[in-house]
Amino acid sequence: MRFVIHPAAMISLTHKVIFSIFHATKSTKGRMQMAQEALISVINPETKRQKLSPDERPPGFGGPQGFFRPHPVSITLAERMDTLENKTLYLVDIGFGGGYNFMLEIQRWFADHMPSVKTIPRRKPGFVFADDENALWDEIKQDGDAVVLGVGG
Amino acid sequence: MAPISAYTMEAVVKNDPRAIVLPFIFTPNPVVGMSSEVLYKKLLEGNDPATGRPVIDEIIDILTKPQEKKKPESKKESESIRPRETLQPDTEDNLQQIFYERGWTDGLPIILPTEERVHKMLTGTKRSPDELVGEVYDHDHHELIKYTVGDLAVTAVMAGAKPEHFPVVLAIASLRQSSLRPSTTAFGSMLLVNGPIRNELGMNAGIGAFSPVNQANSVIGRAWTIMSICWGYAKPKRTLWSSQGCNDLYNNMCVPENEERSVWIPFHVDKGYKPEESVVSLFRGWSVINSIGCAAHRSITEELNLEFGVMPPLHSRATIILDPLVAANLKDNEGFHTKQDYCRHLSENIKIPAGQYWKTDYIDMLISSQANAGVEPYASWKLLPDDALIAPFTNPENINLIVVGGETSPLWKASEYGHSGSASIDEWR
Repeated sequence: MRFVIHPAAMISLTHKVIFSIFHATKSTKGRMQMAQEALISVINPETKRQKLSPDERPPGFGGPQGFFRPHPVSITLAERMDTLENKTLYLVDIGFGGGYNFMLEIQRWFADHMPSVKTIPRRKPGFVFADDENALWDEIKQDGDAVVLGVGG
Repeated sequence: MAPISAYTMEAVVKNDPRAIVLPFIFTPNPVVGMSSEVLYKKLLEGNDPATGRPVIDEIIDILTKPQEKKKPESKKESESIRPRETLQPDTEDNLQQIFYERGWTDGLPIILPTEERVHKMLTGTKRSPDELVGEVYDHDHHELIKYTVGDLAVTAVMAGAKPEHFPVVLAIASLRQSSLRPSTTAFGSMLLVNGPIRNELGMNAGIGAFSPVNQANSVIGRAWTIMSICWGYAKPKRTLWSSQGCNDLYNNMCVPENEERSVWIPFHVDKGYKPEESVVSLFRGWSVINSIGCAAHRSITEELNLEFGVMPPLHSRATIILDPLVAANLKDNEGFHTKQDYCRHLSENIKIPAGQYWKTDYIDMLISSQANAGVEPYASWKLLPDDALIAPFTNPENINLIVVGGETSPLWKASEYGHSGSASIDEWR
């Protein structure tokens, strides 16, 4: 095997070749075996990664808005309610396996402990990885007071 | 809104500026497959692993108590990467360890990419080292990964490729696909070579074509994985999420088609290339079933019917790899003169119960939305009783037939892998 010695390493090697004493035992009658290890210069294999600003990000796929919608400029959290009593709570399964059954258990819990809360379990109709459908969100805005959304996994 | 995620995705939430500002609740993992009582008692009334508080209490609090919008953590910018920079000289053993520890390898020893070896690799193409071959976009981190001929020469050396293999490696890279996918599932990849270059490189399409015995098959396939790793696709909980992983990714099932022994036209000709062109084709999916025995008591169509019952196709996609003996039997004895004839036959004869189809996790997850949107035939299939038979291969053009093997036994491999692109190798010589 041939090695390419980096120029910086050559200087080093000129003055102090590295000797590794790796074996010295009585059974070899005191003979000392020495090995010379050459330094090798190699190239970083990583590929350049360029962070893109929101404006530079490519459009996606999967729906009219693209697979990934643009980042919102800012997110404002909705005003919280004082209580869930007598409110309508949508339980939205986004489509990952097990999500719908989990929402059914949330429904059961409210029936057991807070029966005045009206719960509506729903499966998000659009693609699991995209926000490509608005009908359910419009329905919730009109008829619902709050949403539990999940379960990502 | 109270958004909920399984705790395993906490890193995604923390790294995504869209998610970090939201009051996420985490459940223990997994949610899927849990009984009603486990979901109720352990996941809902049990604690959020991130906070130690009951999940149901958090749901109620998040919906009824003022929430402060969380601020994204100011993160230190990732270390500036200078591709093709020369590293500090070191011993071979130390460099092997450094490459491994920095996550630049598949765990196996690599050929160290010295300037000399990289220059030699570049003699395998007339293209300039600075020429951009492609770019891939990392959606999770909003990063564009650009790679040149020179970058790929480095990773090709590492994989053990020779200059004559390099045009194949460049053609693979030109398709802009990582062999490793950022999914929690066990995605696998496959790589097929067609045309004269198969024999020029001494690739093995015969006995043991998929076995670890042939240099060109091994190193070309490995080169796709090494380049993907160096693009950054093997960083656990950043880009690598596959819970179990897939060992096919060591060389991506890299094989040439056995064109000489096939009774049908080669795969690349199916895709519009000329027979004398050399072409690489990529495939990906989750599951490959190796036939344990031959079609001794049932026809191969009946055998495939059983196999696709447990891995229903997404959008009719499947890749079936037949030993030349099987292809010859289908043509000479069963009258399927072309691959298309047999694909149509499969489309008409493979049938599974509708309930079995829809209760397949990935079908429900990825196809139900189309049924909900009224897309046919999915919308109609949703209305069927569970025991009604459906023919899930509605588009026979999405079934890929490939002939590989050494004719020691009439066997096959069935997969739901889809064809994800082909590229000319000759353009990169």
